[in-house]
Amino acid sequence: MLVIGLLPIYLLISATLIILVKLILKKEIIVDLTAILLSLVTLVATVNAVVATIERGIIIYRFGGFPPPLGIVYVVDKVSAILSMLGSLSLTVAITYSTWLLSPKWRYLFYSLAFLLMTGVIGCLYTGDMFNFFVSLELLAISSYALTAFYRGSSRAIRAAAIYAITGSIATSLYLLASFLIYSSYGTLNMADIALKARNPEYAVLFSGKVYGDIMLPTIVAMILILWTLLFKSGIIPNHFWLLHVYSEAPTSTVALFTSTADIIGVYGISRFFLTIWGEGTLIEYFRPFLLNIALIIASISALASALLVVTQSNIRRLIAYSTISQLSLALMGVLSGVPEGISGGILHLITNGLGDMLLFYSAGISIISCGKDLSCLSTLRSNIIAYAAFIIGSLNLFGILPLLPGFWSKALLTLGFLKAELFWGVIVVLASSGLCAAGYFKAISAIFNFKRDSFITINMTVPAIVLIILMFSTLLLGILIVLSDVFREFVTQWGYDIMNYRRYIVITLNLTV
Amino acid sequence: MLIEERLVIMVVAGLFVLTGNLPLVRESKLSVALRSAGYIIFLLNIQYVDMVSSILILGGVLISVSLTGFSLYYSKIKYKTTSLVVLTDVFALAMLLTFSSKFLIELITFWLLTELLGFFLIAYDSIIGVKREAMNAALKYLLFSMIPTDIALFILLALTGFNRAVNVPIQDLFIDISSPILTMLVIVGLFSKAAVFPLHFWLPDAHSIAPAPASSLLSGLMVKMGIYGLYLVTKFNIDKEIAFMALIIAASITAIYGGLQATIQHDIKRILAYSTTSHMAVMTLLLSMYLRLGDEIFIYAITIYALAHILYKAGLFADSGLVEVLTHEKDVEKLGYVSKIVPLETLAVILMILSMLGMPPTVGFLAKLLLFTSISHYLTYSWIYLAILLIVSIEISLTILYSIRYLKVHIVSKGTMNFKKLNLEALTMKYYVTLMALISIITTFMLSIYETLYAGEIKILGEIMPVLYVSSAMLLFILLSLYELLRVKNYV
Repeated sequence: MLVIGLLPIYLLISATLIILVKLILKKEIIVDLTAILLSLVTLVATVNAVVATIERGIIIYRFGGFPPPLGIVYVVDKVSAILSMLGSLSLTVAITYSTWLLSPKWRYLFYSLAFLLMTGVIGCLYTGDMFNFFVSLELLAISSYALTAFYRGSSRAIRAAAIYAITGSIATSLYLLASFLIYSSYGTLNMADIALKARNPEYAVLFSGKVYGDIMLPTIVAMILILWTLLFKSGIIPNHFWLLHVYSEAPTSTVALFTSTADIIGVYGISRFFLTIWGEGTLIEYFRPFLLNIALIIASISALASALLVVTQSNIRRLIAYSTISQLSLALMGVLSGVPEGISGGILHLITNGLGDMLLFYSAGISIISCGKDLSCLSTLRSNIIAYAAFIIGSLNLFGILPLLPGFWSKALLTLGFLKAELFWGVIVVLASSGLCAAGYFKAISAIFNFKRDSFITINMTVPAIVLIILMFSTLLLGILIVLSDVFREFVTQWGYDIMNYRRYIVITLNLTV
Repeated sequence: MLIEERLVIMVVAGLFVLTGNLPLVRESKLSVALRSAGYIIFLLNIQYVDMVSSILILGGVLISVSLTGFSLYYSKIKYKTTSLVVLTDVFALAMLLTFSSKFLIELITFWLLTELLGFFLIAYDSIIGVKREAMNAALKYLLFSMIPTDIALFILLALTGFNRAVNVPIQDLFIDISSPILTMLVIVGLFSKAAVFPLHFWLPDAHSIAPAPASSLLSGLMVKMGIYGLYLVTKFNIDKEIAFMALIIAASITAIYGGLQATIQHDIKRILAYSTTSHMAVMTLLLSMYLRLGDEIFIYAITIYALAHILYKAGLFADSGLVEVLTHEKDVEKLGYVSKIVPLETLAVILMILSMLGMPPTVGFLAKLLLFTSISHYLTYSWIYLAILLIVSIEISLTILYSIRYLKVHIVSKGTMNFKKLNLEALTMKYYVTLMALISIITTFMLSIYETLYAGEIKILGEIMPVLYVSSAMLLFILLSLYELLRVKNYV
């Protein structure tokens, strides 16, 4: 399918185009409009991808026409498509918000870097090749390091970027090592091919033959390395420290962009590697439950620990950062539950977390501009009903307390998943974490209505208001769709089955006749 | 399918209440009228629900109507703003909607909405900027009441399945919670709502720190949701043995502990808060007997007991609000002169305490009657029921003790009254408190009308009508003489 293959190229071209427009045409308004337009096209493309996956199941795009595993292939199933749609929505919104937030002189750099980031994200989500995943991951990472250091006059921002960059490079190098191990033992880097060989080592695939050597030990080591890298990318404790720095210092639109694009790659990657490729029925069947359980325990501790820290924060950015760590850990727990409902719940939780965080960041961004990062500054939001309504809806969504908002349903799906998997303590962790996070959100909401702070700079808030309205609308739409339409609920529950369906993945990608 | 009538009733009632809360109208008598009308319209929903829900809705509507005026004056006098009124009204509506829910998803939606609003009501003093400890009390409530209840509700939702939660009425559901762990999780979750051991300690802080109208609704109506939830759960497929053991042990401890704590408190609102936990425990004991024996009479007992408790507890909290605003004092040891200033109020309090203690013709008398009848019926079946009777009796004795302690606020002239400190504007609230007291009596007779409408459900009243008439006359005489007695010694 052409759109899927063209998308990364298109995004790269967009990144360059924006810089060219700025250098040649120089007028800021044209640069802004170009960027918004280009991002809207991305949004349309990803929606197209979602529709295509609903109609046809899995979409394949062979780069250069070469069949896998000889060539690179993009394999898009429903989960990849939906997450890419979330990413492009957040890109559009981030670019719109930046037209208001960032100084006109450097705005074009943000746009360009954001499109580069998006290239990496789309690459990670769509790819069917392990090394291509690494390349996209690196592109994503480097763009995010640069985006973190955007306020290059601030030493704290540079420090945050340095921490992120150094530790991030180390983490992705572990992934690179894992891909070397896989290539040297399996003889291939194509995900579907690896999935096939892990279950049937003797099967000779066209172009890559049988496995080269012993695949048992390399698989186990590779799985552990990949798990560690992806835990870092999603900011799960103990790999969370970079997230705190980055979320405190990067510009608002950057952080909101990260939360729906870069930070979901970790959980997505874990679901792809541990449920599709090295899912059920592989030769390391005895080891896999052990590894998944350890990962589950790590995720649970991460969820609870960061949730406990949410209420102690007095800096709104760090509050949302800890909340994000907790929610992403919960999403990871859902993915690791091993039950389709839990997995769907985890993926839906990524989406609801993205939407909720964007609402919180963008509304808090208004108060940060006019006052500061302290919690008491939130009272400046009272001047604009859209601003504090967005904050409240974002918080209620993340807490998951109103069935009209999707956060409720992701929690419900996670609960259902853990009950089916007989992991009762998982239910307690999910609800306790979201409840503890809610303490922080409510503290922030109370700060909005506290009558203390009165002096603040009045600013024109039309652009943020538009952004917040779009986000509130999307959140409510998603929630209402889930409540009213049982077709949609069925669709959401299907995501888990999709990811676990390795057989269909292998057969369609490698074009096997079964 | 035509639009469901109860939906129309809910929307119209809601509109009335919200219109009464609009900033233009909020501070006038019209607001009180509109909001009361809204609540009374909600009463029409009774025909679509079962008996337990209908009586809970009745109690809720009665106190909400009385609190409309009370919260307006309380809010204006204490905080100088009226934002509390809106919160209280929406809170009351949310609880009424919870009790009238037909589908599980409805129940959960309004239940969670209630909890959310409860948080902001408890934290109200902190949000307004008056008292920082309110936030701590609210956070304790969040951690130890909201989270466990959420666990219980989400488990119920997950086990029902999302499609059935939206389409099948609750009374037709039969959820399988037979696993012991799940039963315990659900029951403990609902315990936390009803403030039964071990998740009871959030209640005294929360209910005493919240503003008085909020406390009335919290203690009056919200804790009943826990009992209501437990009642719904007994109808599902739970592990009966574990549930019975858990209910009995937890409720027995709470009944005695709450009563003992109430007798030693200094803060008048804390006396009432601990009293609530103690009474909830009694209802839980009755529920445990229903679980074991299956006799419908326990359900009648619980329902009437709940109704009585709603009325007198809400009224007493309202009184505590009036005392607090009038004297700026909440310590029992420092008060005692309230009867000298506003004897009508004292009379209302005495009436409500009589309801708590069970004097005919108050509805509290009906509650005690059903309580003892139902337990005594099964006394000989097992020693456990004898133990329950013993615990209930101890709890009642403790009730007498702390009721007298509360009454000391009004009639013992130990405290020295600083005339200048009094805020006499508070006297406007006394009528609403009196209203709540009178409702306790009127309800008893209302229930007889109820009986004729729902012939066959409760049949007690017909037998005791003569007692009610005679006791009404006696009560009238007693109250008039008390009023004269108090009036002689007043200053204002």
